Amino acid sequence: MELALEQGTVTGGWTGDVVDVDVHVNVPSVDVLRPYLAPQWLEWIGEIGFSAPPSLVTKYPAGSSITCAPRWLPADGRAPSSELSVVREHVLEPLGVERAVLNCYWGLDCMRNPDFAAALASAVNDWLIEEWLEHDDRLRASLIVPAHDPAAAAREIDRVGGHPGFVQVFLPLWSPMPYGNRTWLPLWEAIDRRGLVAGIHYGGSSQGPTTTTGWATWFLEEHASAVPMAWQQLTSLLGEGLFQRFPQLRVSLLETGFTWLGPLLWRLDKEWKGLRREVPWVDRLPSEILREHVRISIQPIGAGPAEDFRRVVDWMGSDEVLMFGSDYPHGHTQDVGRLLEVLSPSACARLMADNARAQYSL
Amino acid sequence: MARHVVGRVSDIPDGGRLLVDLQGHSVGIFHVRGRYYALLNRCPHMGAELCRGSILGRLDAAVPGEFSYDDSRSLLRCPWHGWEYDLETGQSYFDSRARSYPVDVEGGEALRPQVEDGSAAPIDEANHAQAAVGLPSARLQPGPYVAETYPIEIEDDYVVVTLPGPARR
Ligand code: FES
Repeated sequence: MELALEQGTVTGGWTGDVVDVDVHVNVPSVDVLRPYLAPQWLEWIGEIGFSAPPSLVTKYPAGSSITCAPRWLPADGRAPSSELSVVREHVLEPLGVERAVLNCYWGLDCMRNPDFAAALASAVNDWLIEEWLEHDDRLRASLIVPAHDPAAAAREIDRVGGHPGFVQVFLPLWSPMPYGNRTWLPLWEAIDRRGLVAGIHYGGSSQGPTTTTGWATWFLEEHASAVPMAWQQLTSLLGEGLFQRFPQLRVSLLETGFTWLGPLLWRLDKEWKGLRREVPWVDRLPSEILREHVRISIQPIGAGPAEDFRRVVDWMGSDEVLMFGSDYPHGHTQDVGRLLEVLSPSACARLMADNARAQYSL
Repeated sequence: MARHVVGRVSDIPDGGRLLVDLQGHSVGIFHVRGRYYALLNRCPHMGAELCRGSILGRLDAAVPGEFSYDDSRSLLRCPWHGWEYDLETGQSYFDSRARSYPVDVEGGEALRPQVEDGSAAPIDEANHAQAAVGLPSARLQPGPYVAETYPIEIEDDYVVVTLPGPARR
C-alpha cells in the first residue's frame, strides 16, 4: 500500500501515456565491464587497484537518500538500479512507461588517465547495449563519453552513436570549460553529425573547485549549486552561438530542476537588447532560441505554494519545455501531482509524453 | 509641417552632431559621411537622451566569428542600456522605434526667401549655444551671440529639419 502510494506520487496520479526521460542505471562494479575491456586495461585495473571513479563520492554520496530513495534500495546489498529486472519492477511496470531514457553517470570526468577514461566509457556503452538496450524495446539510453577530452568524446560518439538505442550524449553538468566554448567543437560536431540530443545532466567536475567561486564545504551546497551551473551552461551555449552553428541541435537539461528558467530567460532577453553587438550571431531574443532548442526534465521539481508555483511555471512561457523524468532511484522526488495541478490537461499530456517523444524522435 | 534651419553645413563636421530644441522637443542632428539625420533626443525604452549615444556600424554574424560589418548603415547606441537605433529610420535592432525626422541640405539662395516669408524658421541663437555643450564632435563655438547674426547667406548651404505640426515660435 505504501509503495503504491509513493509510486502514485512519481507520476502524480497521471493515467495517460508516460515517457520517462531520466531513469538511472548504475555500474554496480567494474567487474561488469570486464568483458568489454582490452587485456591491458584488465591488467591495469589490478595494478592500480581501480574500483570506481572517485568523483562519484561527492556528486552521489553512497549513503544519501538523494543517491537512492530507501524504498528503492535492494535489501540484499546489491547496488541500486544496476539490473534490468529491478528497473522493470520499480519503474517500467508500475508507471506503465512507454519509453525510458537510461542515464548512467559513473564519474569518468574525474579520471586523469585519458586513455583509460576513454576505454571505460566505451566499456560502459557496450555494457548498456548488451545488458540493457538489447533486452527491452522500451529502453533508450544516453551514451557516455570521456568528457574532458573533446576529440576522444567525438570518437566514442562516432563509434556507438549509430546504435538505434542511443538517443543522447550524456554531458556532466560540471565541466572544465563551459560547453559553449570552442574547445568543445569536435564534441558538438559529432553530436550534430549523429543527430543525437546533448543531455546535460547533474554530475561531473570542473578542473577546479565545485562551485564557480570556490570549493563547497557541504554536499548540500554542491547539490544545490546545480542550479547556477545549469544557468551558466545554458548561457554559454547561447552566447557562443551553438544554436546558430548547429541549427538542428537539441539540448536536454536533466536533474537540474526548472523553476529558475523563467527568470533566466527574462534576464537574458533584457541584457541581449543592449549587449547583442558582442554576440551578433545571437540574432533574436535568447528566450526564443532557448525555448526552441532546450528541454528540461522536471526533477527536482521545487514546487512551492500552488499560487507561487503556477506563476513560476507560467513564466517559462511555453508548455513544450518540460519533460517527465522519474529520476529513479534518486530520492529528491517531489510529488509530480504538485506540478500537474498547475498545468492545463493538454500541457500535462505534453509534459508526460509528447515533449519527450518530439525531443528524442521516439 | 514646420521647417527649421538648424545650422550651416559647415557647423556639423563629419561624425559630429547638433542638439537643438525645436518646437519644445530636443532633437539631435547628425552628419555621417555626407548624410544628415535627425532623431528625437529621447529613447523610446526609458527616455534617456538617446542623441548623446555613440554612432556605430551595423554588425551581424550568421555564425560565431564570421562577422559582417556594414558601416553604410549607421546605428545610434543609447547611452543608458545600449539599444541600437538605425539613424535613418529610428528602428531599433529589437522592437522599438525612435522618432526620426527628414533632413535636407539647402542652398542659402533658395532658403533666404523661405525664412523671410516665415515658411522656414531661422537658426535659433539659444539653440546654437546649447548645441555646443558636451558634444565635442560638433565644432561650434559657444556664444555669446549677437542677435540677428544669423542671416541666411546665399553662398552657404544649410541643414533644414522638418517636424510634423505647425511651428511654435
Ligand atoms: S533608455 Fe535607451 S536603451 Fe534604455
